[in-house]
Amino acid sequence: MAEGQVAVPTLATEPRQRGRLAGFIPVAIALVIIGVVVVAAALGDLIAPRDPNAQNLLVGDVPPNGQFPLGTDQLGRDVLSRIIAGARTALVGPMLIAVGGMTIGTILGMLGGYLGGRLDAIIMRWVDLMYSLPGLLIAIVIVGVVGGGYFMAVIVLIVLFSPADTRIVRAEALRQRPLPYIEAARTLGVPTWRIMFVHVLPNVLPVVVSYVFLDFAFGLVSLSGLSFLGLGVPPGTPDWGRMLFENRTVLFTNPLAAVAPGLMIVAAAAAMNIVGDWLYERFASSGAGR
Amino acid sequence: MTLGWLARFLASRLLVLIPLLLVISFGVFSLLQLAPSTPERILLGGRPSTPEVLAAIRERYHLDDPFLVQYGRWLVGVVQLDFGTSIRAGEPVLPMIIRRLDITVFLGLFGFVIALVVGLLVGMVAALRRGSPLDRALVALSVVGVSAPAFASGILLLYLFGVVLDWFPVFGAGDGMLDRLWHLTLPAVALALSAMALIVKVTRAALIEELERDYVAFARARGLSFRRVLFGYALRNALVSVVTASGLVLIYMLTGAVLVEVTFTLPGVGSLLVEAVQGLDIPLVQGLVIVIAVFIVVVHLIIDILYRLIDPRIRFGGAHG
Amino acid sequence: MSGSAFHLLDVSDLSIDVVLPGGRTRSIVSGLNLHVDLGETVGIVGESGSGKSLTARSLLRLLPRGVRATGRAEFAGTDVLDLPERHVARYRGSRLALLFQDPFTILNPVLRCGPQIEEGLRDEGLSRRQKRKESVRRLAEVGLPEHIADRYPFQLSGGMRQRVALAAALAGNPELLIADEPSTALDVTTQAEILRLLKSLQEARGMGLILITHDLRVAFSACDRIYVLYAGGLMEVGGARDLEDHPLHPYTLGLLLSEPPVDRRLSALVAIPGAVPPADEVSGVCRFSPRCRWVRDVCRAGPPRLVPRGPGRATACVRIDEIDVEMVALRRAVVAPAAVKEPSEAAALVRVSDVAKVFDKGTPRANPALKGVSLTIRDGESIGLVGESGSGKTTLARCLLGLEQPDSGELRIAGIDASRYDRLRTGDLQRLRRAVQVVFQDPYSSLNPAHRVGFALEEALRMAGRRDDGVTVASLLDQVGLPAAYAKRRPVALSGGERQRVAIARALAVGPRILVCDEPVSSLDVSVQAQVLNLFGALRTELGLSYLFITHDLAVVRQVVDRVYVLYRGEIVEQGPVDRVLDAPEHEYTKRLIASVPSGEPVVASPSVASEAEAVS
Repeated sequence: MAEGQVAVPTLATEPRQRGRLAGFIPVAIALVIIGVVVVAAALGDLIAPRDPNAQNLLVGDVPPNGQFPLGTDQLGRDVLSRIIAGARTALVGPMLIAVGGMTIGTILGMLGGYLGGRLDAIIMRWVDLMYSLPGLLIAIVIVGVVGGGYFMAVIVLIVLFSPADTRIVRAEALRQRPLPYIEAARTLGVPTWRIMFVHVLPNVLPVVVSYVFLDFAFGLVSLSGLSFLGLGVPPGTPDWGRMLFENRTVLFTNPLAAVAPGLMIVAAAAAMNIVGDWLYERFASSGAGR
Repeated sequence: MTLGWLARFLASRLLVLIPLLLVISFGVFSLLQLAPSTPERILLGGRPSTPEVLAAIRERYHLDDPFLVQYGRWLVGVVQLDFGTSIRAGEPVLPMIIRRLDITVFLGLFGFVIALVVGLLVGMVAALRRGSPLDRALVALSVVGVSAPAFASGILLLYLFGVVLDWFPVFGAGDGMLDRLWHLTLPAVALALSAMALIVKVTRAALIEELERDYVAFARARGLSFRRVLFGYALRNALVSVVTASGLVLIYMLTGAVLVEVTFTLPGVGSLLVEAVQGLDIPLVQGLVIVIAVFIVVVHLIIDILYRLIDPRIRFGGAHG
Repeated sequence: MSGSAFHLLDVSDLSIDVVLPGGRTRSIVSGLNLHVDLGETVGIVGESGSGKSLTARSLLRLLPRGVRATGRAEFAGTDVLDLPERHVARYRGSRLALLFQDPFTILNPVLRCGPQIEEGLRDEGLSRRQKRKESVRRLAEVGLPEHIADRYPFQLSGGMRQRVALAAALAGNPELLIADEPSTALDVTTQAEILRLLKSLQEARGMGLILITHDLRVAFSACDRIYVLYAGGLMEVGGARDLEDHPLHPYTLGLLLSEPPVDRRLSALVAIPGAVPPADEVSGVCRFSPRCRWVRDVCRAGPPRLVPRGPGRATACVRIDEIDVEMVALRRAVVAPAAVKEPSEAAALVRVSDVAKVFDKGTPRANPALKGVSLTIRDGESIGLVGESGSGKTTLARCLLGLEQPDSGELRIAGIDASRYDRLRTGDLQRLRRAVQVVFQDPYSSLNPAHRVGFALEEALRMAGRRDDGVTVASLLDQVGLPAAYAKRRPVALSGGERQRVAIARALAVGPRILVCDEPVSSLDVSVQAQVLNLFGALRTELGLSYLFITHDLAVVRQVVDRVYVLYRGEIVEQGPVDRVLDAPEHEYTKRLIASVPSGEPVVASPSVASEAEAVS
């Protein structure tokens, strides 16, 4: 094997690097937005200028001024403080939905995609059924009729999100299964559980992580939709979706009271979507799992 | 593509879809049991209750029968288009729904057409100019669109075009075709925005993928015109993805309509559902869900037929090669 | 260089670069000169990374985004690189046409075949009926019957699709056809048919033909003149016969020596060390210098130019005068043939008896992959399993490995009944896993991209429970000719040949008695293929391994195999010692297979009719 000494391998720089920096600017902005929401959720009471629930009917419905940077709502509550306080429900619920839905999705998707067989057929039957239905509408009916508040809404959304996540993870696991390195591991006698965790999962994980962010965005949009309809959070809670509903009637006097929470929802969801898309594209082009 | 083929196809699909409807109807009927109150109290709807009244209600709604018998009785009614009586309004459910249907249908179709037409165009432009600043701006906008729930974008549109610019009315659904179009433009745009973003995303991705395929390069190498290659080759093959997305969008229009009708205070089916849910008007909720489920089943049927029209590989069932 | 001053296509100083952000460029091809005349067949031979396909695309102005071509490419006096965009479409198809490699992806999947040909017709004002008539005539020209016009591409076999694509490419009656690896994706017998068809069309139409290929044998058999391209630069130009008889560049010689001959067995191939470097890294020196055994400082002094040497010939080797004698000597020296091992008397290691397997059983698509196959592999024997796609050869391998289960019949490996892996006791299963291992075809997906080389080998060692008998990751790497430091590398940092070596090391980790090799070298460049084939030979001597070599390539079979089984549509149609089967085939199919191998002899142009009746419905 004299010829065995192989030339130094070369890592050719691919054109995908093109415009990497330019592409990072929106991601940086997105990360800043996420950071602000996280800080507000963690330190809400400490940084809010006023008590978000303190009512003062004498100053109800006032536009922004020195005292109230974003004005007040009908009951005279400080809109800025309520937005800061609202970061908590905007962060915790969607996070639980994204992580919970993806956890179920990863387990079912890996089992169905890698093991196949009858289990997979059952899982896919369920996934296809759920996929063909409008999720949020189901959530509205269930949470509305059964009740249970914010956490019921979160649980219902976890269940409703899991089929789409299952489908994504399953597709990835299915793509891995016939690849030679998986079959080589089977031929070596590597136990099935080890193949799933050590060989398949690391290649599926990039997609899982990206979709947790994308799910967070959709979870926020869905959850605030429920709040907007008066489902989920109890009335009076500082929640962006709920504020939007309550303040839509003061659009003529203090429009910011309704517009600001709306913008917050859009900004937070967009930030998560941008990060998720960016991660997905990075992973896809890095060749991991290809 | 003969009629016989269509009939066979419909028959095979209905074998799948009818059980789906049954599952949904069973779930809907079970709602009554899941609600945090006894069925008779719900059916009484907040009116003062005495043991006699409750007993009368139990009698009238056969609440002492086994659950499955109750379900069977209800199902027989549904099949005969008898959805029961609304608790709040005290009138039959179906006419209530039908009365509210036209606004929602108008709104949904209006929104769907906007989303599809604009989404397709924007997606095509982005795909053809991929990598350019224009493409990047369009992609960024579509990310914002996906992130904007219909009620949030609705409020923003309402404020911008209804209050600040005063171009569109803020309330009401309008009478007559043109007036309605004018009144429902903002709601339809709000409804279309996030759906449009999805269509943009899907169209762009599918078209870019197709444009990079060998058969597109080979078509260009043979000297076919750009227009022919774009429409006859790339777009034609990207259509399957777009149709899939359109189906999802059409179904999404239902959810969106609920939010938009509440945002713009429009008396449609969506706001009826919210009223029914909030008032625990279970028969009305059940009726609404069944109507919606039938709609969804029809959409899926149409999508399945479209697939077969578009792609011969699906049409021939992959039985060859 | 040769012939008239005016050529049909005259390319001078063509460079192709990737434009990176910030305006920097990365070279793919540079300083390319070539010309083609009407009625002439010219070959461009190159391995992966040589830039041959992008060269073809640049001539049709079909380069991907961010890739730029400079220089001149005069077609009948007009510089096509300089043509305004709106005139380009008029050139494509009607003057220059390009046929792509993969028949499975180049036709529009939602359009019937007839219309795809009609679209390219240039006669104005034809009625629908006339167009249809014309497309049927064009189908007949490529040997296809009328009803193909109404088929969708997915209803046809690969060879038929390539014929349809050829008819479509020729619809505009081009003066020059560029065929980019037109037969590579096809089965051996179909390859030969397509080549013959191309030649006959070229002769009948009197057009120019550029044949792009990685296979010297194909180029020798079909081309008048050959350009040898390596890492983005021309190494050598010459008449096909001259080039074959007397190469004037060490790279051409290396390719010729790397190419396993189909007619005799060699003790070892003379491989070119290393792998093809990216063009950009070697564009300032003689591109072949990092791998050349005759390299001197003068080779690295600057990019050598192509220097004429004899009629119609040119070479880029600056030392050719000094080394020519040595090259000729090397060529002569290695023709020492080797004898095939005597038939083994050892006990059977693998015994396959009457194994059958049907896929999609009980459905209308039921597809019998194996119809009662029996074969024996003795301890230490190297067995070839030859067949084309759909012959069932891979299915049999997968059954041996427990990746698939036979419907009936018996498999015994090392005395263990391996017919049903799922019913084996743990001990037997473990012994079986350690007895039989596998090397797959595609080096790029043979290794898990998520793990380092060391991790993969470590895991394999742990599975074998061999950590204490002196076998280590380092010793495994050494065994396959890789430095120990490679344990820290990730698969993305390895070349195709290196990955395949690691895959072999992983299989060796469990100390197997037999390796099942499913087309293990067919995805590799010729120069690398020879290295790996040599490795297989060395390992066999060293470890006394048995091989089951599954391949479609008879030249590979000749080099590494003792006995051959020929598999055709799920049945073994012929078997015997490799020399007997290849030199005096008995079965009709084996004869056809052997006749299809490009021998370097000129192909006889024949307007062949598609012989594959299968896959048409």
